Amino acid sequence: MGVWLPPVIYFFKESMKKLVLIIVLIVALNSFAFAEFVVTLEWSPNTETDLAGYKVFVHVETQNYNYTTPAWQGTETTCQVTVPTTDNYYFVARAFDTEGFESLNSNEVIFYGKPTAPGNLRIIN
Amino acid sequence: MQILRVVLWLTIFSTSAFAWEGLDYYMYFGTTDEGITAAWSPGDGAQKYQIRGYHKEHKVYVDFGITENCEYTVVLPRSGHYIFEVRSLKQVGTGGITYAMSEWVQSIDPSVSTVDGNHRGWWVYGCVAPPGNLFF
Repeated sequence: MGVWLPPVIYFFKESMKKLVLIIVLIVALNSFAFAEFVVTLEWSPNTETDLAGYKVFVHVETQNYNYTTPAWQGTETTCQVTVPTTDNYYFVARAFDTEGFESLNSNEVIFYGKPTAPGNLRIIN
Repeated sequence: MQILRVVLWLTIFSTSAFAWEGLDYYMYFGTTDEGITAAWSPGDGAQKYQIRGYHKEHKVYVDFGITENCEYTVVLPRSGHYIFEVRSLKQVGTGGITYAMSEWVQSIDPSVSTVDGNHRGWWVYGCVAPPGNLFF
């Protein structure tokens, strides 16, 4: 059974519901945002006249490159890729021309996202 | 038959997170009013280290703290058996979740823990500290 509330209180209650939802969303988005690295990559430009752009691929240690889904694609010679903080990441870039032909991989760079675990755990005193 | 199968399944897969039963861990003794200092070798890329203990009897983790050094002195908060754990941290942001973290290293894992320079698992038993300043 509904309870009659004065319009001012009813409006306040409804607004608070929306406000709480917005705050929850903002907190969730911030939490995810801070659990990620933004990795900036740069490379030397190609000289081909029919160059169409570049693709950047990334994989973690336990996987291989998936060349069907680049992490970034564009015409600039720098890019930013966002990765979670939970792993180490391997990057390569490829150039492609206007006919869709793709180059071989550039040199590979490794971004160490997480530190390695300590060792020789012992009691000293 | 179905019950037998369930019992068999539970018997085979009923492993706990820590397999301390029947293994030869070295036990350090301490009391709840004195510090016990653990040390470790640094992890690559680590800026800080987080230390915690697993209290066997209560089956809970106790956060001991975070340090930039490769050693940390802990005053055990209550009596019981503790497994020490440490992991590397690397700062990646300025708010919220700010660290990238390595896996935890456990003191009962002889591949990463040593006693007197030899690979061996260990844990700590904390006794209740005796009362002090007894007088007539």
